[in-house]
Amino acid sequence: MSNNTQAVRVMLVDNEPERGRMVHDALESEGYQVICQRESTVGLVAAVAAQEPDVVIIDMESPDRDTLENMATLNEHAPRPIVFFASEDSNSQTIQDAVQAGVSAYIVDGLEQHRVKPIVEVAIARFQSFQALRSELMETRSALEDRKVVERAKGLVMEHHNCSEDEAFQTLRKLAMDRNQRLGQVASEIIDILEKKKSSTPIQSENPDE
Amino acid sequence: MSNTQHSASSTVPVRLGFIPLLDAAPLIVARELGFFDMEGVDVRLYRESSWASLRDRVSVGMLDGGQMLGPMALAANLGLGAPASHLIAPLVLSRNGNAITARRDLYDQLLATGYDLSRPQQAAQALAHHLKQREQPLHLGIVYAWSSHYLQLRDWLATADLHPGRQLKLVTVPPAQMVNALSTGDIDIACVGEPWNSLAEHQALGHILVTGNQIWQNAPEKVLGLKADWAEQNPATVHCLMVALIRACQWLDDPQNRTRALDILALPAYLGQAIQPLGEAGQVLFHPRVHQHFHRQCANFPWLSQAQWLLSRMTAWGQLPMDRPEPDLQAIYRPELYREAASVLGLDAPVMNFKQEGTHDSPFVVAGQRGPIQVASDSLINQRELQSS
Repeated sequence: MSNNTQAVRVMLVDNEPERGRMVHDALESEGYQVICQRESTVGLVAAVAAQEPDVVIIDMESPDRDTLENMATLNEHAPRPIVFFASEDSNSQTIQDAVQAGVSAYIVDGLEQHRVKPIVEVAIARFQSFQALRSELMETRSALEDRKVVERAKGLVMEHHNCSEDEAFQTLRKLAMDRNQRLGQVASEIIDILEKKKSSTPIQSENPDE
Repeated sequence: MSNTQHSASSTVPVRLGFIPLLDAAPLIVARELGFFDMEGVDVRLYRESSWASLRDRVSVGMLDGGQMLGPMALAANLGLGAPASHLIAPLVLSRNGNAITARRDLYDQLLATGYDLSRPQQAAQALAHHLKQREQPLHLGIVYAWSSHYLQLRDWLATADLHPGRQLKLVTVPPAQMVNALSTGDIDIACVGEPWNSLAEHQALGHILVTGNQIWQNAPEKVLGLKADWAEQNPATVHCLMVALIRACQWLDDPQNRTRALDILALPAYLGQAIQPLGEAGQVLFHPRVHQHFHRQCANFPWLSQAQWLLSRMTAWGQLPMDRPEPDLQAIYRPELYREAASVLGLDAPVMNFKQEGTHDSPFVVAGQRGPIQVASDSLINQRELQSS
């Protein structure tokens, strides 16, 4: 019975389409039946009633979590009682990992823990890799922005101190190391200071790059 | 420039969660006006999209605490609805703030019944009368089961012997979607915290039928909930947080600060521009019928009798088994921590932890540590019924 994953119906509520697809594909490849549900309060209650999932996996950022909790607590609409996925207590590693990754799960009361855990773990893994992809993208983006800012600061330092490009870069680097700041951060502070100076002393020549 | 004996020496930021409602104001104001800084605590605020996620993030230690519903803090300690998580609630952040708003056309129909809608029992009678003549069910929007709004709604409906069911269907709607649900007709009545009742009135979509204050007068609404083991390890930080928050609550109660408070709350990181209408049409931030306040008449004191009262209503409406022993409330509400924080601000606090809930129709005086102090009235809509049972 424990290997019979076909019997477990998982409803997935995630407004991040790309992540939703990752979880969907991963669960289906394990043989689960997956129903995807987009966020919508009225729709969710009706969908749970109509589809009768055994497990609901929902993004922690969804305001509809409170809807599911009300279904569980007030028992108004739930054809079968749904409960928060609780293995023993909140200190359990699975719950810790789930909350950290932004996954929450509700199960039909009575469904055995050992059948739920692998489903939640698949979701956690996909949420984590999606998060990793996203932060990598953010880092790349901010690295690009940093590079632009550093170039601009370098130009200002060269102009201000009448030094070479390499000397200007070394100045910035030393400042960053002394202050334990990112190069980009130091660069934007330098721009602030030198630009102010420039606007108050208009005799300075214009930056030829502008 | 901390004027407390304690100081929060730790440089680790305190992470607090909030839900974008008007009663998140103490946390937001304490941060924006520098009250936390004055006490030497570095606080980061995190906006959450659901009470469930706020609770879970505190319970696993991703957040140290935050704005919480009174019943939710109790439910978390009791392990109701989710794995048990030990929290303390040493400070009440706000009082009143909920209302039950009827869609405009329903309100007119209730008015036509001839009942006096300004009186809550009569308003419930009007609803009962309307339901008898109606074929379609009414849809009642609620936010969260572990909340005072839900318990207030049940107490109010019960005065006319009304209960959710086939004719009166409960629909869960997140607060920010409540006004829209009234306009689409998904719900006929919204039971929700401010600013959403005011905004429904502003858009002429609905009219406040009953306020929480008419059901449980001056009831504590949100509390500061903190993860218990974190609080135990950081007593000085807890103290400083409480001092800063009491100061923010005092500031919020001063009518002169309303416009400034509105500007702060309307910042994109908090409630956003959606609340701008609260500064129009004569209303500044708080709806005159809702009586939302934050400090006066001992509002911040965590009465153990109020925790007992909440538990009794949770039991009455089936959220708590009858035979469940009362948890150690003194380990949750912590009035002694309040007294300590209040005293450094030169504020007095009651000497006792309990009052006779529901028996005061007007403000009354209790013994404080330095002299008599005034406490707000606390009458309850169903008091007669409770006494007879």
